[in-house]
Amino acid sequence: MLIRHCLVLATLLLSGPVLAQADAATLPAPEGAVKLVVSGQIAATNRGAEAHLDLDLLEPLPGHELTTSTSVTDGVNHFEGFLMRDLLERLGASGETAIALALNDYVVEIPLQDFYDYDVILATHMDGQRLTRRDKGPLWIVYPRDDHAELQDIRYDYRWVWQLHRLEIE
Amino acid sequence: MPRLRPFPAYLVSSLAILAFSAFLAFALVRLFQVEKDMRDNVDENMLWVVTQAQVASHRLDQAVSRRAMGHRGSDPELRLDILASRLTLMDDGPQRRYLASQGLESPLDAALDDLQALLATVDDNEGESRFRPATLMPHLDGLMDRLNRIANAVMMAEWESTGARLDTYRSSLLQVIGSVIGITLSGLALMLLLIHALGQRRIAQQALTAHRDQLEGEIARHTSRYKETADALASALNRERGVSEFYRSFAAMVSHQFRTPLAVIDSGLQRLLRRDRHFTAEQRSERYQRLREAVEQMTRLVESSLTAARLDGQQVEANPTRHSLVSIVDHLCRLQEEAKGVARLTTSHGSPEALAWCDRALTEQVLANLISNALKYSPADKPVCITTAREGDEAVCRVADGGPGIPGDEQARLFERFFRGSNAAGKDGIGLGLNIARHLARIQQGDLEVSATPGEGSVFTLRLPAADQEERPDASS
Repeated sequence: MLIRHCLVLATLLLSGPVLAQADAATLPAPEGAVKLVVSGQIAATNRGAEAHLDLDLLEPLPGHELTTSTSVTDGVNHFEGFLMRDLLERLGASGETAIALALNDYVVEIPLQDFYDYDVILATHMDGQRLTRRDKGPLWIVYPRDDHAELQDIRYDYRWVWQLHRLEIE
Repeated sequence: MPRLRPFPAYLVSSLAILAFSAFLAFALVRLFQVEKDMRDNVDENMLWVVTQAQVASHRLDQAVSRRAMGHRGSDPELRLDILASRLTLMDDGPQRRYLASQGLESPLDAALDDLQALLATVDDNEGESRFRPATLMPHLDGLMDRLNRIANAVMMAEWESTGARLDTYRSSLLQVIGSVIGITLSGLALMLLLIHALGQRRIAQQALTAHRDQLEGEIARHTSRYKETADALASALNRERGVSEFYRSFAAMVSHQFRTPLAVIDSGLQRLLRRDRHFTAEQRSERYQRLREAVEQMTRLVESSLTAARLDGQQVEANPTRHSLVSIVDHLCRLQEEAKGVARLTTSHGSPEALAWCDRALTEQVLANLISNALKYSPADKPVCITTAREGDEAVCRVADGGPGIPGDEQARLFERFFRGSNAAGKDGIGLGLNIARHLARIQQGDLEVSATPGEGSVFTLRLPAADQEERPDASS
């Protein structure tokens, strides 16, 4: 029994990167409006050295929901989107840091480790409404603030980038 | 001894502990309040939010102008959306509440109205007319004015609040410093109290120890005095008891044993008085001889009785030293042969030499009694064998005769006072000799035993503690 589990685990470990690379190699070109551009140390690209992602490319990622309060809104909000680490794996990203750029020219460096330590999501919906560019959309990096006491800190609050449109992986 | 005053000391230390705890608690509460206040400081973000909204409004203005001038790269749609998102953020719960608290609700509402007008203008039109400067500028100018006013007010409010907060921090700091001084002073007081208490305790302990030692000394003094008195009393009582026992025993023996020889002497004398003339000189001489024998017996009786009474009264003491049983036995045999002119005694000495730890006079008395008994109770033609030997840690002397022996049931009673065996009938004697002999053996840590076979003879065995070969014999021996 134990041996079989080990074999399964080993198979998964060995095949994981291979599958990701196989997927990464076949990143199709975007057809709709590009919502997010990812550049830097990524394996999957579809325009030069960059990955240009529209909603059709983003939405196949496994959905993830998160309920938390934020530092700029009242009460508790319900967020839907996908995990940052799923996106990074989809693109075969490797590196230490993500430089996140917003439409409003806001720039911040985020350690990639954050996305593995916590279930950080890239939210597309808040309280059932799609996030728009006139609010904090189309993409908002949301930390599970209420689930971890250490995240209730201004040093994490500034990593909540809204109107995200570009990620540079270094 | 210094007097201890527990109540005031406890009161003072309790107060010191109370003050220490109170100061510490106050300082901690203040510090936690400051920390929480610093952490909850949300309004610092407000100036950034408003400024970013101002920047967004200017960039929209720029983009609209450029579009009007035919720049292709300008993107007024994006700039409008960003401005909208900035104002939406200012309209969100925490930000609106802060602005309202600073009396900036009306400029905010007016700014939002301007935004709605801008959005309506852009969303309701199509094509080139969407971003016509002439339509947008009045709303945008108004919006920029209001944002400028809000930014101004927020900046001043922040400086005010920062100043006020610094005042609070300073006063908290002073209070904490005061508390720390209080903590130090009450800690110092506690320390002094502790040192004082330890000193008191040490003094009390020393006093207690001294008192205890004194008591113990007194008790020991009293006890030793009482003990000495008690010992003296006990030994006096013992002595008295011994003396009285001696007299009682001697009186009992005199009344029991002296009547017979006295009666014999009395009747003999009466007969001599009455019939003096009828007796020949030979007969008279025989009567006198018998009377002398009776007196001799009485003398022996008195001696034996005195010895027995002394033993009863514990008046006999053994002074043991190292003696050779061989030399004692040889000496006794020589005396016996010289006195009685008989040569019935044979001696045989084992090797190693029987050295005993004994009192020579007492041992001689025992052995003399055994030898004279053996000679007396066995036929005149039979020898008496005396042997000495060392057996284990005992020196042993055996006196064996060739007499009739002693019946088994009498052997057990042979050492009782005044007991005389069936074989003793017809021989003079009073039944004290063996009793005394065994007593004398026992007070020297030895013993006297008998084994006899009727018809073959008796063997009396004297056992004494053996003395070591290396020791020099005592000079008195």
